[in-house]
Amino acid sequence: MKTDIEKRYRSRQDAVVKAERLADKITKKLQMRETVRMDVCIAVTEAVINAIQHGNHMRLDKYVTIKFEINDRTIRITVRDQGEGFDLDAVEDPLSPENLTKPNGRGLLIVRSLMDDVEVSPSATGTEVVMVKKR
Amino acid sequence: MQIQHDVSGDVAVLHLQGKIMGGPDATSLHEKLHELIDNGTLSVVVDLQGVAWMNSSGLGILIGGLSALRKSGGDLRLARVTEKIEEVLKITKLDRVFDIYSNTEDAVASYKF
Repeated sequence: MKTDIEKRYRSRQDAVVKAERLADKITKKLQMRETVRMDVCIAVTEAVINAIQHGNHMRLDKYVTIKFEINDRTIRITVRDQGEGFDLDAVEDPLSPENLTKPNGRGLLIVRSLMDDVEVSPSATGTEVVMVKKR
Repeated sequence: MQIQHDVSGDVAVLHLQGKIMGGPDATSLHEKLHELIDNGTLSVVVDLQGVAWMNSSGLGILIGGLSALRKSGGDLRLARVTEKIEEVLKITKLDRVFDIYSNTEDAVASYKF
């Protein structure tokens, strides 16, 4: 059985809370283990923060789309912004000593660590982040 | 997220409750930490027992507070870190940056040495 749920949020800070509530509700309904649910919720907030702040630059005329695709084995989440993309190779390593105490720059590292599979696809019309977690 | 502020001698203890994921919750923590610094409190303990998880926004606020306090000769120490937060601190190597204690009493007492 496969279920798809898709939502679109304006690029405001409350999009993070709304997306997290949705992820929390979906993972609860799926009866996923608590630690796995937390991984999914954290990853969703990180991806949405990146989308509204770095992708859409908090522009209210731009939206973030989040899609949950659920099957018997996995939950696959796609977060898409309407920004101009970015150079993945130019992203600084948050673990290097000079960056360790910076307040920002850890989102993608956390997403990659908590989820089973992550793909980031920047393009001139927006960035798409696909995150997969085994149920 | 809720913040309860206790004082133990010269040490401020902030008991946090809820999730720290960015937005108004992160702003209130940021404001609280800077209010303490502005009022001359340089020894801070953040009790995380009531926080199931936090994301990079929460970590950013804590590291910002830590940097500001250390610049002024103070410190921000963590107590009762929950399992998922411990995992996130390890992922980001911030477990090497923060002093972490298993209970608030030890965290408060650490400022005496």
